[in-house]
Amino acid sequence: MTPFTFSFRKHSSQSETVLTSGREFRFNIDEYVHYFSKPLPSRLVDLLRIAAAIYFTDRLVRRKQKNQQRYWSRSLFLKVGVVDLEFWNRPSIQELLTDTVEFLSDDTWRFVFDYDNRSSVPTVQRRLFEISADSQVTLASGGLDSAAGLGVLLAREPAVVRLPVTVWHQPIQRKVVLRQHNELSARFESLAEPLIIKTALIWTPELKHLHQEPSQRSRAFLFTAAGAVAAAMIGSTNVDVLESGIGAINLPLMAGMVGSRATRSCHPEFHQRMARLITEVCGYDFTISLPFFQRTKGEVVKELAACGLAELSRRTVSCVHYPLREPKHKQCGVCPACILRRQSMAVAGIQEQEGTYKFDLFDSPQKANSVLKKDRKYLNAFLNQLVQLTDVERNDSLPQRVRRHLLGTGIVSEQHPLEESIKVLRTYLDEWRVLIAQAKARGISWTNLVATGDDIKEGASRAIA
Amino acid sequence: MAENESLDLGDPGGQRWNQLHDAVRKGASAEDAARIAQRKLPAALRKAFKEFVESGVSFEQFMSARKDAKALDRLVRKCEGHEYAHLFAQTARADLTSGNDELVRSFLGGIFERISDQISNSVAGSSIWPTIPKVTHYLRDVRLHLESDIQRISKKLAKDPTWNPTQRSRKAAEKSDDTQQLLGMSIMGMKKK
Repeated sequence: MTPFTFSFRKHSSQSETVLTSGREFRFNIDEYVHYFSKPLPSRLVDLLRIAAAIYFTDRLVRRKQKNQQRYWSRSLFLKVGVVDLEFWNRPSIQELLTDTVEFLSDDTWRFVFDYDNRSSVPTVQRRLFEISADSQVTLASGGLDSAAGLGVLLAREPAVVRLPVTVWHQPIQRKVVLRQHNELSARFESLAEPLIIKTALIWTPELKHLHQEPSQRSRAFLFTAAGAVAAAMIGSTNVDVLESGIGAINLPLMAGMVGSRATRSCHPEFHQRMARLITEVCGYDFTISLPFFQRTKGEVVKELAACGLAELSRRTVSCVHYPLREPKHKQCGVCPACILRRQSMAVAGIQEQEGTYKFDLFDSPQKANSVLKKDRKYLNAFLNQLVQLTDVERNDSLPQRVRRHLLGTGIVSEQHPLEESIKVLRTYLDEWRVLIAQAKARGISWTNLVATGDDIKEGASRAIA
Repeated sequence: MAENESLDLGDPGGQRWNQLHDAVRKGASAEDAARIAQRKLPAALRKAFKEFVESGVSFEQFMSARKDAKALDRLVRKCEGHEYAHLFAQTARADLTSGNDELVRSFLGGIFERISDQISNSVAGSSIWPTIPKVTHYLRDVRLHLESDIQRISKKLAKDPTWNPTQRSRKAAEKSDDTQQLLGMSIMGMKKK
């Protein structure tokens, strides 16, 4: 593994933490060399180094937890060794880089680069077939969106070769991704072997005193960079991110979740900024696409089921706490990711194995009704959001909070006009109405919070414009 | 797999809104709740503006930059991502064409929405507030009662962004209450139906 080094400090601090690959962290850029059997151009090496440095720094500098209103943002100083020093020192590139990562993470970043030309020469011939520039690179996390999206795209366009790229950053993730890959490749010949890059901190004595920051808002920079480099290596000009429209829009569950308090990992504005940066790195126009932006998560999973791939969805993981440290249950069932997952599986009519979730809010009335109020706070936030969303029925009474989010953060653009977002939000609202009515009929008591599915029709009738 | 998002946003301005929260929890009338909010809202703004100044930014700068997305981003960064800075920037970017007073009004509406959601999340499901729509309707009534204050503050800040927001004076508040009462009465001296 070819080593590289970066260091970081908080802006206010004099003390710098230095990390070297292979010693304080694992991120092996040589995986690309082995996979593609050719060296990476300098700027692509640099992009990966910078992306990894951002990711690990983000994880190692805690946000202040008290009074998050004011102190969510951090001020971070990062020094990275790069090969193409002249390029990364250009003011226009620095501006693009900081604009992109600052939008994503809601922190202030300052980058300094120094020269490090260590690089690797390929020694292993691994790839058995050519991947042409017509192939499509997709990000594959092992989660429901990427697995379902990949299955659907393969079914829709079986002749298009798809190259999944995984930044392996969680336990068991590699196993999950490979299992999904095996299932899909048994059916679709056009699925290339996944490119999986292990990404992990090594808790040396130097790092042990640092407490991890759980928000990890900047990790999408690394994931997208990883995909973009793979695309560039085959001469492709695009990366597909398989998030649904609901996930990409990520309407905050509560007003006040501004900036990156609600994750922007698949935010169209982030993708636009990232694409501009990658365009400069590659020297040609590059795009990052959301092929399922017009769909809810439920619609994508439903289409997956219609392709006869429902079982694939059951082999995915969504929970933010995965894997729970429990012998029986690995997903919690009450975090926003679990709730959205359960909603989409219900839309698709896919039943999961009993015991998949520690808390079951949706299926068994006995289990759902025994979930404590403190464990239902995210569900309550979802239901409150639905009540607020009822004014999305008509364009001319878009709730201020929705307008602020869609227009004020740059979701709406030429690429994604306002009508697209409104349509997907309306579909999402309708899906929940059906789900609530069905849950109510089964005797699940949290549905009383909206009394009837119609309550989320009436709830916003007197909205202040 | 998804990133974790916390619903714990902290208390904007410390314990300030707890009084409103308690009042709603106990089933106060919308008018009474609005009277509490009338005191809290200018205080919350003063605190936020003070925090902006500590970061070297004024509300006046935000207003001047309202149509410049990059400038707004820089101000938000300078304010260390302050929630109200973000809120203003998003509100401004979402509406480039309205007048300054309408912009500020929307901004204040956003502050109130933040409090409303936290209150709703907390009280919905209780015996007084059994459903979310019930508490939502109520909070919108509170917002309606607050409207004259929001308009007052919006107009003043739009005209003079250096103004330090204050509560309405008691005299003006009483006069307004009297007016509100009279509006509810017919010329025969009886309450209108």
